[in-house]
Amino acid sequence: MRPFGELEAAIMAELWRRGEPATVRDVLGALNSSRNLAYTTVMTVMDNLHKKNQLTREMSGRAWLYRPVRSRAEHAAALLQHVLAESGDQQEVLMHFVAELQPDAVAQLRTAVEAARSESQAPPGDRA
Amino acid sequence: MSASLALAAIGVAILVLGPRLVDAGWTAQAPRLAILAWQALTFTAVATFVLAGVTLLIPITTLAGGLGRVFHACAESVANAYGSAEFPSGALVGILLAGLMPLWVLSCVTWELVSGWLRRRELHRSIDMVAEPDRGLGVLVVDASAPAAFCVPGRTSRIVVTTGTLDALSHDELRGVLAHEAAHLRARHNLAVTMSQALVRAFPRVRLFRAASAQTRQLIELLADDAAAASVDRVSVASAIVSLAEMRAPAAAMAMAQEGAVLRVSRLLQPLTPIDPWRHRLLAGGLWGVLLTPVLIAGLPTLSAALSDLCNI
Repeated sequence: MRPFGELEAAIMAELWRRGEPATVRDVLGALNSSRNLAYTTVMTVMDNLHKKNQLTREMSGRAWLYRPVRSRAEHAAALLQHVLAESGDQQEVLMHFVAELQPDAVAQLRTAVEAARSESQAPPGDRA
Repeated sequence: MSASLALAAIGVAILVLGPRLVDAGWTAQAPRLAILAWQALTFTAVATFVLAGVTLLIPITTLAGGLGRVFHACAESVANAYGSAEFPSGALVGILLAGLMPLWVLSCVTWELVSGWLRRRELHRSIDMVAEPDRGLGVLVVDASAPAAFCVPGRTSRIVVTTGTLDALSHDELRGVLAHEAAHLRARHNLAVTMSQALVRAFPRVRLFRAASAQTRQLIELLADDAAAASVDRVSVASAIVSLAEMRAPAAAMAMAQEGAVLRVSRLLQPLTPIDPWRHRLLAGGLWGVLLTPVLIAGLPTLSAALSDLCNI
C-alpha cells in the first residue's frame, strides 16, 4: 500500500472531512487556515493524487472537482490488512498483540482459559 | 598469533554452541535475562573475531609505528608475545576482521535504524489519517471490525486499537492488552529487535544470529505479557490473546508464530514460577564470563609484557 506524503495526507484528510467533491481552491482555503501554501503547490499535489488513482475528478464549470476514490473506512481497512499481514516480521516498526492461531488451536486454548478462569473463581468477564 | 587463534576458537565455539540456548528451559521463566544472554552471545561472537584481527595487527603496528628507540624493546616484547604474523596474509586477515567487519556491522545497524525510522514515520502518518484519539484510554481508535491492537514506537509513539477489538474484549482483557503494548513502548523492545535484526542482515547465513533474532522477537512478547499480567491478572491476558486470535480470519498461521502464541497462553495459565535466585546468579555470572573472556585473552600478552622488566610502562 502506497503511503501518503505529508501534504498528500492533509489533502486526503480534508476531502474525507468534507464528504463532497471539492476544487483545488476549496482545499487550499481549508488548508491555509493553519499554513500558507501556494495555489500551484496544492494543484500539483492533487493532480499527482489523481494520477496515482487516489482521486477522481470531473470538470465543473471551469475547474476540476476532486473526490477520493476510496472512502476513509476503505482506506483504514486497507491499512489494517497491510499491518496484519506483515506484523510478524516487522516488530521494529510495530508490535502487534493479536497472535496467529489455527482454529483447532484456538478451541483448545479457549477451553484451557475457561478452565483456569473457573479454577481461580474469578467472575466471568463482563463483556463490554 | 596464539591470542588470535584462541580468540577465533572461542568465536567459533560461540557460533556453534550458542544456538543451543533455544532449547534451554529457563528462558521462558526469565525472559529479560534470556534477551540479555542472546545479546551477550551475539555481541561476543562478533567481538572475538574483531579482537582476533586486532591482535593480528599489533605486531605490525608496534614495529612499523615508528616508536622511538626507548620503546623499541617494549614493542619487540609485545610483538613477541603476540607472535609475529606472516606480514602480508596476517595483515590482510587482521584488517578484514578488525577494520572492515566492524564497519560492515555498523553500517547494517545504521541501515536498520534508519529504515525502521522511515517506515514508522510513514505508518504514523497513515494511522493519523484514519484514527480518532480516545482520550479516556489514551489510544488511537480505528473504526474497523478486524481484530487489531498494536503499538508504533517512536518519538511520538502510539497505541492503536480497532473498534472491533474494543467490542470483543472485557474491561480487564482490554486493560491487559493496553498494558502489554505500553510495556513494549516503555522498555523500547523494538531496539532489541532492531539490533538482532541488524546482525542477521550483516551475516544472513549465521545460525546464531538468526536464532537470536527469532528468540528476541518471542521473548519481548513474554516480557510484555508479564507486565500486562501484573496490571490485571494472568487469565485475563491469556483470554485476550485467545479472543483476538479467534476473531482473525482463519489464514494459514505460520508454524512458528503459532508455537509462539501457544507458549504465551499456556505460560500465562500456569502460576508464575520465578527462576531460582542462585540459578539466576549463576546464569548472570556466565553471561559476564562470555562477555569478558575475549577481552582478557586479547589483553593478556600486553599485560604480561608490561609486567616484564623490558617494558617500563
